Amino acid sequence: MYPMAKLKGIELEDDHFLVSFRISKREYDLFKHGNKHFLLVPLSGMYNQLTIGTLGNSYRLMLPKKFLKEHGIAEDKLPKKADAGVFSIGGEKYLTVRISSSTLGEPQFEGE
Amino acid sequence: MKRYTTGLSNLDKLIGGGLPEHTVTLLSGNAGTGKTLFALNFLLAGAKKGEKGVFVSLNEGKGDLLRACDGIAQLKPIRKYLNKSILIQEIDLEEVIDLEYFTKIFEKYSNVDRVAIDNVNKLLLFSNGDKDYRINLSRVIKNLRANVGSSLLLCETLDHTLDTNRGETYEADGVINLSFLEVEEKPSRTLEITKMRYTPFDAYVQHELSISKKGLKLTKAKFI
Repeated sequence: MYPMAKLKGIELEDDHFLVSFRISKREYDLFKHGNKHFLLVPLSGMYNQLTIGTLGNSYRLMLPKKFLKEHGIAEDKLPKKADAGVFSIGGEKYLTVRISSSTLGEPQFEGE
Repeated sequence: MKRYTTGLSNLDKLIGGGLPEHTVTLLSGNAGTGKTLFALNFLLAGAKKGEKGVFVSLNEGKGDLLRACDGIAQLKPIRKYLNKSILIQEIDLEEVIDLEYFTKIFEKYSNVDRVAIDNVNKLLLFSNGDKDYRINLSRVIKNLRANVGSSLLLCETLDHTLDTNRGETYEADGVINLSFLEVEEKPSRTLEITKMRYTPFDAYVQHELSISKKGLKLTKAKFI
């Protein structure tokens, strides 16, 4: 059993909530070098929407197209296999998926 | 074998036309010997030929580097190529990017012709001991060699040493050392080639490297 994220605090900043977590090394490995293109969904409301399938010897969680459309996630930008983890925060479980890799530090020339 | 001009025509003549393709050259020297300006001039020379280059700065900020270029006529045009064919990437190692990620970044540099990393000493700072540093250094060099046309790895050294004594000269394909030499009580910048794979060259001959408001210039062996 891996240690899970702990809620450190919730603050209201302008019209946004700033939520701070203390996360484990394993969780950090999922987030590192990226601060956007993450999907964080509470699992409690998702049980009827998620599909489980097998691929090779392992299980896969599949997100329905309808769900992706509702949240404006373009299918063509999703990797076939995304890094994901289940975080437990205050007794509630959250599914976190990195839907795009970080491009931090990669060369991006104008006009490319 | 394709060669990449160093930006100094007299240096190119000494090494068969320039730095060999898919090699990593260690550019070592004391503080103030001109490593950063040499590297910026190297990238500018490539940009003028339509090549793409990246200056990876683990040291100075982009503003400071451009200010240094503004003071030298030869390097002023760098602004013209900025972001189009020359990128200055400031990398905050370990605060924003961890070492493992950093060593792998260069796998994604296949669209880049030239890279200069300033400097390798920062890599040392964030490694866990000499063995870990050597492994990280080797990974960076391997990725640069495989993906980039020609790369410079800047290395700050103490007096009369070619590297930090942790294997940089062994790992690199070429070594160019910059130093100061006192001639008639006046310190002069010198350049010597001590290693260059796939290239015949005269080793351990010191050439004068002058850096003025006009630019960088290498004059033929003056001190032997």
